[in-house]
Amino acid sequence: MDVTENYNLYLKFDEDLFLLVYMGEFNDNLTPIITGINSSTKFGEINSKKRLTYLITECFQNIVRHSAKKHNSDLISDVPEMFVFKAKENIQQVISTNAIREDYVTILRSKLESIHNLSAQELKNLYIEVIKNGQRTERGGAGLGLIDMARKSGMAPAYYFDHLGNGFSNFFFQVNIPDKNSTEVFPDHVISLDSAIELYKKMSGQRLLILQKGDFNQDLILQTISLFATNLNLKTEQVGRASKMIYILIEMLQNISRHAYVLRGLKEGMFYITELSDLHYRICTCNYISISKTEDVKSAIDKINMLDKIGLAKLYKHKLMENTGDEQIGAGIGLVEMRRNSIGQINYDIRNIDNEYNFLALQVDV
Amino acid sequence: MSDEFIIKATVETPEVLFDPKKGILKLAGKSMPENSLGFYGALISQLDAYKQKPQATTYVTIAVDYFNSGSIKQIFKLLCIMEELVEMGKEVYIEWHYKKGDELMLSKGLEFSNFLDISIELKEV
Repeated sequence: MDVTENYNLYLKFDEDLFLLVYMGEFNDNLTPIITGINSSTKFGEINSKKRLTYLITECFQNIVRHSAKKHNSDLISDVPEMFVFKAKENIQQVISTNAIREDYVTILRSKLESIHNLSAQELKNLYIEVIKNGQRTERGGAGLGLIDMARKSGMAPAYYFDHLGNGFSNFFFQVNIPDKNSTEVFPDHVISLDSAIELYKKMSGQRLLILQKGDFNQDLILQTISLFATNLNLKTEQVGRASKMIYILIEMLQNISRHAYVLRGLKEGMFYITELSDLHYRICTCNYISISKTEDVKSAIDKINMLDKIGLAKLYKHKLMENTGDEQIGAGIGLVEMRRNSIGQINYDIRNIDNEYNFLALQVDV
Repeated sequence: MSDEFIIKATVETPEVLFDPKKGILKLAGKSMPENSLGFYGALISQLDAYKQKPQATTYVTIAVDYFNSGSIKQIFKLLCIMEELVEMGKEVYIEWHYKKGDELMLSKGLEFSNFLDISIELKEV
C-alpha cells in the first residue's frame, strides 16, 4: 500500500475507537498476548472485560483449533486466517475467519441457525441440555462453545461462508457484544459482517500481519511488541532481522504515544505491518499531529532522507553526544535510527485537517 | 561508599545491579521505557558519585536485547562515565553481550567501541 493511501484507510475505521486486525501465525502461545491487548485498552465497561476476555479467547482458539489450514496448508497456503477485535461506541466485536472443509459447512450452518433466533432463556436451556446430553461432534466440541458465546455476548452471532473452491470455504464468524446497559438499536452496517469481509479481502491482498488503531499507551505498545515478537519467533529463528524490526516498531509506536495530537481525549493512532516478501516487512504508523509540530517533523525527515550512510552515521553520533535537555520525550535519534535500519527512505504523507492539526503517515520497509 | 543500587527487571526495563564497593555494574533484559531519562537518571547520578571515588577496577556488563533509541542514548552516557574513569587512570572492563545472529545489538556494541576511547569486549551469548 502506498503511503498516500493511508488517510483513506484511517477514515474507514473512523467509528472504531479500538481495532486490532491480526493475520499472522495462529498458535496457543499468542492467546494471552491477545487477551492482554484487550486488558490494556480503555474501552468497554470494566465488568464486561471478563466476558470479553472469554469471547476473545474462544474466537482466537477456534482459529487455532479448527482452521483447515492446519492440516491442508499446501492446498490453501494463500488463504490467511484473520482475528479481529474492535470497540465502537456502546458495542464491541470479535471476529474470526478461517478456512474449513466444505463438507463441514452444512453441519456448522445448521448449528448456527439453530441458535440464531433463541432468546436468552432458550439459550440457557439449550446450554444445560447439551451439558447433560453431551452431544459431541467428531471435532471434539459439544456445540457448547457456540451456545455459550451467543449467551455471553447477548446477541446472536453473525456468520458467512465464502466458497473458496478446492473443497474449502472461508468461515466468517462475528460476535457482537453490546454494553450491558446499552439500549441502542445498532444499525445494520455496525453489526453485519460486511465490513469484516471487505476488510479481509483488502488486507489478505496486502499480506497484512497486524493492524491496530486506538490509543497507544505504553501498556498497549508492550503487548503489541510482544505479539509481533512472538509471531516472528514462531516464524523464524533469525534473531538479527527480528531485533531490527522490533527496534523500529518500538520507535514508531512510541512516536505515536509521544507526539500524537489528542482527539476525543485520546492519543489516537494506527499502525500496520504488511509482509513484502519473506521476512521483509513494511511498517506504517498514522496519527494526527499538531500543526506547530508538523514542520519540525517534516524538515527532520527531509534532512535525514537526503543523507547517505556516512552522513547518517555522523548525525547519529552527533545526536548521541548532544545534551538536548528534553530527553524525557525521546532521544532525538529515533528518526535517524529508523532510516539507518530500514531499506530506502522514510516515506511520509501529511494532510491538513483543520487549523489545529494535520494527519501524518510514516512508512518504512525493513 | 554507598550500598548496592538494584532495580528489578520489568517487561519494559532491564535489571540493574550496581555495586560500588566491588566496582560492578550489570544491565540485563529489555529496555524500552517511555521515559528513558527517568529510568536511567538515578543510575547515572550514582555513577557520577562513584566517579569521585572509584575502585581501581570497574567491571561492566551490558546484556540488553530489545531496546528503544532513548535507552541507547542513556547507555551511551553511562559508558561515557566509564571512559572518564579510564582517563583518570582506572581500569575498566566492559562486556557487551549479544545473542547469536543479533546484528543490531552487535552493531551497537561496535559503534560505541568506535565512538569512545575505551575497549569493549563483544561477547556472543
